Amino acid sequence: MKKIYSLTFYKNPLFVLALILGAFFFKGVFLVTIFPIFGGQDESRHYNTVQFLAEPPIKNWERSKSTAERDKDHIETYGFSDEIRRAAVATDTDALRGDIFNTIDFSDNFTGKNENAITSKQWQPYNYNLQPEVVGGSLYHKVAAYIEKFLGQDDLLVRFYAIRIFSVFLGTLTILFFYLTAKTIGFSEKNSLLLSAIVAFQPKLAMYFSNINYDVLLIPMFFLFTLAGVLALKNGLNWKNVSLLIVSTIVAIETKPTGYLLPIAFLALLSYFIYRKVREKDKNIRYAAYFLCMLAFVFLAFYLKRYLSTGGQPLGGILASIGDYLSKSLSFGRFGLTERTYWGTLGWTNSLILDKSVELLKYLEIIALAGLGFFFFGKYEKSAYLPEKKYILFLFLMTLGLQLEIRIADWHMFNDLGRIELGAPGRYFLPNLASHIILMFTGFGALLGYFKREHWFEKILLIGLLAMFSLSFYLIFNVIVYRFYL
Amino acid sequence: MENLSAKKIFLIVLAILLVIIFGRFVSNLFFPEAGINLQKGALVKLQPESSLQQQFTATREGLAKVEFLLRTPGIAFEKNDRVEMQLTDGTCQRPLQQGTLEKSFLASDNLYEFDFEKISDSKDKTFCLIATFKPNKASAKAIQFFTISEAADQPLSLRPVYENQNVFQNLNELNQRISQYKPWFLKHYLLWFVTIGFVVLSIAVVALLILL
Repeated sequence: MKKIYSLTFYKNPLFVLALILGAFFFKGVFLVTIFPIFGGQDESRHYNTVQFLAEPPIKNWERSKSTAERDKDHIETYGFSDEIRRAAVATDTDALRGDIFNTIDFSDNFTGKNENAITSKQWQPYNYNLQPEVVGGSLYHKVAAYIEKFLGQDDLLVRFYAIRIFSVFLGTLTILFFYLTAKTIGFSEKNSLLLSAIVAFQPKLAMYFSNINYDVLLIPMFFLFTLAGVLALKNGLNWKNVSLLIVSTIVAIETKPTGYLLPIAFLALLSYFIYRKVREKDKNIRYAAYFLCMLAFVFLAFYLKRYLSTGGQPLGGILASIGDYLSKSLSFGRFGLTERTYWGTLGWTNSLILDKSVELLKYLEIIALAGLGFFFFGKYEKSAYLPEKKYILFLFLMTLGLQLEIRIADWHMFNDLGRIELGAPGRYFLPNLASHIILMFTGFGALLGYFKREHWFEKILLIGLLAMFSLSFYLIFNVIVYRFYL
Repeated sequence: MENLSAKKIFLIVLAILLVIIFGRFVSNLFFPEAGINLQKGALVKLQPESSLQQQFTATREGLAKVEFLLRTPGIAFEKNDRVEMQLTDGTCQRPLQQGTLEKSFLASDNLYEFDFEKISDSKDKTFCLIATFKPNKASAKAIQFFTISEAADQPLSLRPVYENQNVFQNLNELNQRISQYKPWFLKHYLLWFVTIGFVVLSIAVVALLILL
């Protein structure tokens, strides 16, 4: 009996889950390695924030206000620590940030030409500039600063790459949260594993989790909030899921302003439970409960108003600005950019496969959206392999909420500056990848149910997995490695 | 039975995808000469039906390509324009290889490359490149090559590209390049460990989910 068990261990869902998490972690560490130092999105600024927070509280070194003008082509002119600026020069960072056809000056062995200058720790990890270029105090940077201090005796390469690996660890947790979400809302064990593997192979997600950036803490908090939300919808409010909702909300707020969507979602969720509780109660109790909920929303709106202040702009001006923003932002070009940067196809190579993949994904999303229409409004029996409507509605509202939040933030900057500054790149929407992937496959599943092809659902998931797997591998080996090393 | 065949089909598709991805990867394993950053200096015009020559010296064995920078728009392939390339010995007399200038796989409007059969004993040898512009229409405009600086009479902005004797040497050189400016735990053997771990675990996940 024991022998039979040992031969079938690979069928154990926990073993498969561990394999998915292990694959994601190893992939993340490989990505950590192939992305050159300071090569991530604003990574030098984020790492400078970490170093700034790790500086001794008593700054007994000379600091001055820099008078030199910043030249965006020369990283040594940036307001970063001495160590970052000099290491960036030593590692040819400017060559990589410049023309796409140039790489760094490689040596003919395993040690970079200037590597000893970096590992000899001759430069201080301190900001000599009184106005260092840092990102506003975020919980992610504070946690990373502990790692920076803990490894204070090691060289820059050890500290920098250790923090990147910490980001990968957060990404691995994110995949775990997703698996639990999929299972909670009613997908079968195997389908939950398939969906988790699809998310684990989504190219942009793993790329993002290989960098030093506060989004790597924000994204798992959105996934955790989603998990807590569906747990609450399944089991009702209890101390476990309320704790998860509170923790994910607080951490997200403390990480990045995007996190302010979560208190709104939290309050909406609470209002829903209050409504369910009081809907059959006495009229006075009902009205009192509704009034309290509205009051809470009003307080929250006042609290968040500071992020949306238009400086006394008249309503007509605001409406004109919104119209102007929509006419400039709702274009095929901008949507295309959002799609490309969401799936992470990079655009560094003349690859027809990658261009066509994004185009295909766009059409698949439209088909999935039609499927969701059937799911919500179609007059047919819901397929047993799909989650209940309440979960899908929750995920849909989360997706819609983030879309609105980002578009509002984008418009707000447009209103201030008179130009599109953020432009809604796809990475901004990654916090809702869990909801998005589940919505897509629910849409497909609903269409299969409508056409009486339920037995195809698992095959559709497998096709999705093969697509994400091959896209991810192609990008890593034939785009990222090619760009930086060949 | 039907289920078994579906699983087999998925496994075959996985194998085909891996062959395509890693086939492309192995075919990309060429190493541009380190230390040469292509520059956008002054321009040299190449008129239709005329040629230009440029000498260069290879610093290692296995010369397999030469990269050039052209001003945008470069060669309009859709109109069947082409630049015929000839690699000769240092005297520009004895032809060694022939071909055409092609757009690089890298998404740059400027980067073009001339591929040819690997020259195993290229180290320290001087070669001559002869480029001849053959447009589809005689009225075509000249194409323009960048030189290495704004000063007059500078050499073309070009970069020799090399290939090792076999794929294992290529992979080892790639490992060397990736290992540079990395901490001790992401270098050399540990980098092999991470790479193999990532590839094996990822393929295992997909294969297992197909088989379950």
